[in-house]
Amino acid sequence: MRISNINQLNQIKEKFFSEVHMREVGEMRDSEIINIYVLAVKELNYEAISEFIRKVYGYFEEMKMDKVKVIYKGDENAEAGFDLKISNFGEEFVISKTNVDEVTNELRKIFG
Amino acid sequence: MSYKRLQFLVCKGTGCVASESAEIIDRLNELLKEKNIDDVSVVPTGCFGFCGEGPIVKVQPDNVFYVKVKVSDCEDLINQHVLKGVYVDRLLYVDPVKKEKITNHHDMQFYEKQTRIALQNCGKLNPECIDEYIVEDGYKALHKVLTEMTPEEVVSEIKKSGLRGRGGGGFPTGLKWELTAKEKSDEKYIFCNADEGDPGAFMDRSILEGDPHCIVEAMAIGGYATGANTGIVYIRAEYPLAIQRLQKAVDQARERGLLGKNIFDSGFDFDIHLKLGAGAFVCGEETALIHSVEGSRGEPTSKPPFPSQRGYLGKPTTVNNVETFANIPKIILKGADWFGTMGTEKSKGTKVFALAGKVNNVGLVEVPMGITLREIVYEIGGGIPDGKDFKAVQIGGPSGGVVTELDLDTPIDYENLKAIGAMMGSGGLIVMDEDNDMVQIAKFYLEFTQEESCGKCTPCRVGTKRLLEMLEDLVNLESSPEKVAVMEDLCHTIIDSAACGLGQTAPNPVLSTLKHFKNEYDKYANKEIKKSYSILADKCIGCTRCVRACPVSCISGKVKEVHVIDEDNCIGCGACYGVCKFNAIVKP
Repeated sequence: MRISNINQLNQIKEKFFSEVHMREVGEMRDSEIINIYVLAVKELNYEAISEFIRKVYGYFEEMKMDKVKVIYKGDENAEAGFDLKISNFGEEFVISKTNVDEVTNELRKIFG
Repeated sequence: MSYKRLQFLVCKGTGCVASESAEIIDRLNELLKEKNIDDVSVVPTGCFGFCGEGPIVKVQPDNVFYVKVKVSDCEDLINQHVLKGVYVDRLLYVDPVKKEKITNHHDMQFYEKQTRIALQNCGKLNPECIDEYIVEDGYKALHKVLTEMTPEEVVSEIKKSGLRGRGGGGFPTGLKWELTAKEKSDEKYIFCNADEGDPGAFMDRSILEGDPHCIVEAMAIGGYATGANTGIVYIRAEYPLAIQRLQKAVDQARERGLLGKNIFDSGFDFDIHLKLGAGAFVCGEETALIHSVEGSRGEPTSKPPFPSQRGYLGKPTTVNNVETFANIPKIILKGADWFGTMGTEKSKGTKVFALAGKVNNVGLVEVPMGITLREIVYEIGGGIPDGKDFKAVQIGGPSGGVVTELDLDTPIDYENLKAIGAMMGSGGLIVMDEDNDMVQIAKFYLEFTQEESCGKCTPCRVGTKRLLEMLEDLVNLESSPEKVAVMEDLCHTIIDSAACGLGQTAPNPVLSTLKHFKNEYDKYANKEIKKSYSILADKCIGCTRCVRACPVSCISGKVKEVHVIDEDNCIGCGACYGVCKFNAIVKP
């Protein structure tokens, strides 16, 4: 496709944004982003963890918040299915919940 | 674009490819497929700069930096990092000073003091994907100049930024563009000098391999500013990966209409062609480079006329090097004032150095002008290995000079380096420790420049040959203090009379080492130096490793008996020293 104007450049940028954005978020310092550590118990299978993280990202996408980094850290001491340690620009929260709906409810309480 | 939870960024720069990074990419993809993991992707990138630790695999958004990864490690990267959320401990980088494993890329001292402008996209984007470059505002600077700025405004912005040529000379880029722009001609050209020839330097190669679209865009901007419709990249044939990536970038840009006729419907036409060079060092000199592209011998000619007046095919031509171009799109987008916030009063922006030699962290580093060599060597470089003492750093490649402990705190810029007898050059930075023999170092560099002399002018062709012979006599203990004085005199004669930069700077390593390490020259001249290695009888166990390593068979001794070196025949190569496991070999 021939690019003739700035709109076409912007369209491509939008289309491939998520591919590169992940790398930029990764580079950001803790003070610049919301860090969410998903501490998952070892009994959970990968599909469940993957789906959970996808939904957490989905929540923030819905909220149009893109400076969010979700990191999965295997932790056999996690109290619930998923323990979330959230560092919101320096402010710390911990959510221990077993299912994703409960977690998103908690996220709503924190982020609106 | 499908959602990905994790991305493995795998370096596909020349160094890591040589250590099987392409196979690592294949294996990671194979394992992800086998295990039906669809929320993780593998992205080939350009060089991360930390070449001494390659192959490098970085995991995002976790920002975990794995080093010296092997194909056999891929299984653990998937099973541990992806599936269990546990980092692969043995692949984490170990800080050479603190001896701690580093999990977050931000905590790596090697990167902490760096400011990446020219290398911004290297190690981040897939260099073979124009769309990723566009995500990073690629080609927006070109759009801006073609739709919002006159050529004069572009030149003025570059002049205002204070950008100077990164190839070695440090000539103001904006002024260079202005000189070509002012010439009246039916045809003009803009050249990218990718004939990087300094021993140990690979900044330009890395940029071309890791961010080729940036150079394509910058050349088009330069073409618009100077009135050129044709760009030529002169690149050495021994950079096959850089050539391949750049050609692909040119093809992709043509396909999207970002090169060719009527770019962005502005009426501006511009295209780029690659010309492969045979790797002659002298072709880094702009007039020699132009002659080589014309099909003539790569020999310099006197200036004036300057290439901006009469260059390629007798037409006005601008020649800029790769790193210089790499700064252009950022200056256009962020502004000259932004660029001016980095650096010193007369040297703005950053400089990429190839940090090598006796230093813990080896690789490409991009630092703001004004940083000190001490910060580069001890903080970014992590200091000298094995607790040895720092001796000097050779800066500026074979045309440069040595900087000693005395000047380590000098802020680096073009003027300051010149004042202490060195030069910026293209950015080779080789650290030497207490074990390095500075006379041998000078000889090494002179061998290089002598070999690379094009032979056109007598002072360089014959002068460097005689100078090298004098150095060889010196290290063979066949010289004298008087001859060293003659040697020094010859250096000045070559500098004063050689026709081009290669000859005029060839004696620099000799003069510089003579200035700072005269005592080492005196030892050779007075024959106080012992040339041969020797063996400590109480430490030698007679393993015979040294016997087998010696290239001139001057070590004798039976198995399990103390060995002896024939000092008359020892050539001092150090092969025995390198293989002895018992510290039984003593250096001269």
